Amino acid sequence: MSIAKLLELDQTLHAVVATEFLKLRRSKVVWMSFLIYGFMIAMLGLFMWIALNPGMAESLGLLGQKANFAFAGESLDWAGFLGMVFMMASLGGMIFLSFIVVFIFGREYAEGTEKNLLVLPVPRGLFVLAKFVVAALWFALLSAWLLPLSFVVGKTLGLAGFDARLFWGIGGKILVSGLLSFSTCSLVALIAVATKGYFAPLGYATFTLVLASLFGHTGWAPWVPWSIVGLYSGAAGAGPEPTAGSYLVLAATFLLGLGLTLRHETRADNVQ
Amino acid sequence: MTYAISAQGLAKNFGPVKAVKRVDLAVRPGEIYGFLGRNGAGKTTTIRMLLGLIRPNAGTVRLLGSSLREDRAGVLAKVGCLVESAAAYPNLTVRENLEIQRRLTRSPAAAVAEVMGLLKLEDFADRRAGRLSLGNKQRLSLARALLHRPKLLILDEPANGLDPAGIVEVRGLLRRLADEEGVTVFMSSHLLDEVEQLADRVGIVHEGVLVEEVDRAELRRGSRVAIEVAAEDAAAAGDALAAAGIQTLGLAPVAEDLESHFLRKTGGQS
Repeated sequence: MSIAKLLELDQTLHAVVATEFLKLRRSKVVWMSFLIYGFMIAMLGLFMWIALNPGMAESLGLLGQKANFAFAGESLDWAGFLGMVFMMASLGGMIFLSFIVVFIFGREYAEGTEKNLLVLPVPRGLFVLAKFVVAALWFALLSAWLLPLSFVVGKTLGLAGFDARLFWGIGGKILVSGLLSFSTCSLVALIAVATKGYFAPLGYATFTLVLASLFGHTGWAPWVPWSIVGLYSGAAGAGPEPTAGSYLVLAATFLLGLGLTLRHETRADNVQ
Repeated sequence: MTYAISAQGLAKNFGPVKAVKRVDLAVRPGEIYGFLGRNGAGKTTTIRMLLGLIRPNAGTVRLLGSSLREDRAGVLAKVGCLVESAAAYPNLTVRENLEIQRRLTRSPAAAVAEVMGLLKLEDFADRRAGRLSLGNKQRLSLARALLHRPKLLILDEPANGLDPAGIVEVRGLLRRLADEEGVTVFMSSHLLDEVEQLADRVGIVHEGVLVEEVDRAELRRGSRVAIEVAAEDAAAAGDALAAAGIQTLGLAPVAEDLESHFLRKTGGQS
């Protein structure tokens, strides 16, 4: 491929990415995702507050028990709180990223616009790549949103032991776990385009959580893509650490999903 | 001659269902070609094959002299289309929906306003597509098809959802594009009257086979002709005709209209 052709392709990709962002304008799903993340941090803050006030926990009954259960074994300070934020970002993030990918890919079928895209003078693969770019940026912003939220909630609770290095360290770990989660989402995109809608990929995403949990406590965990995220976050409990092979498995999973999604979009019949 | 659409031996099966068995098309540049067929005759499947949305099991397609396989982007840059139902992003306004099309077809910035004017969408420019009436959604889809000034328009039921005034407007617009700008229009429709008024040539597809291609003028010349007799005394007309002795007030040949012709060709009542 000539340089001129590559530059033209690059320009087209920029245009496609820009239009993919434009499609999100005024979308309630975008705002809902940020609200839900905010709600989750607020709930963690509430639980932390209850755990810090045992008398209050007792008077609140079940909610208090849940709060004590959530923070069982965790220190009731910044380290404990950020640890919970990280765990939530890792496991919740994997399922949330699936929702984002399902929405971005599935809406073209749900809204009947896929056929409009496929007859445009744009290489079809660029739509797939652009959608992954948008999903990655959306999820990155969502993950980044956790940090100021956590900071505000932690400061409001007056937690002890704030350490900037700890705080940014957790930020870095959230970024890495986001990347690991992103590796598994290309298969969700494949199912969304192959089944032309929302339901099957959402069912699949839920099923992967079951798989993650099923294999999480076995020796297979470092080799099962969905369990690897749990191992990295420590949500699977005391168990094996992800190995170099685990990261190769995740890379292969992403490439497999990406390749099959590209193949589907460029070759499959569209009878929408 | 380089045809605007040239399709040979197109066939498509969906499992055991033979949606299109054999369709050959030769649509001339600058003409309006009406593609008629009953529900399930294979019109939309043919259109999808023309546009590369589905792969034919057999046959070849060339649009404006080139194959999609050879130069997909180059060909599609010159083709505007509306496939089956009107569709747009419901959370985006009319202007924003058209802006997406503009960016992806690399059309000039003025193209959006221009095409909104053509389709009388200016008053709805900032309304979300999800809140448009069916007729205005159809106008938006037509605007999308026209935005990049295509040389060939492939329209599946372009009059769908339009009110009578809208149908007349769109008819005028398509006629003007063909006559003044040489745009070729290939349109499927179930509105026989619409096709009859607009199309220069009509292809009739029945059970997946193109059973006839006919010019509008040829249709009038070559189809069955009935004799309509006007008489003062209708009851006596039969006797009078038999005896050929009654004074007739009028005797005029009445050409079979497209509806009767279509129904006769596709096995319906005429």
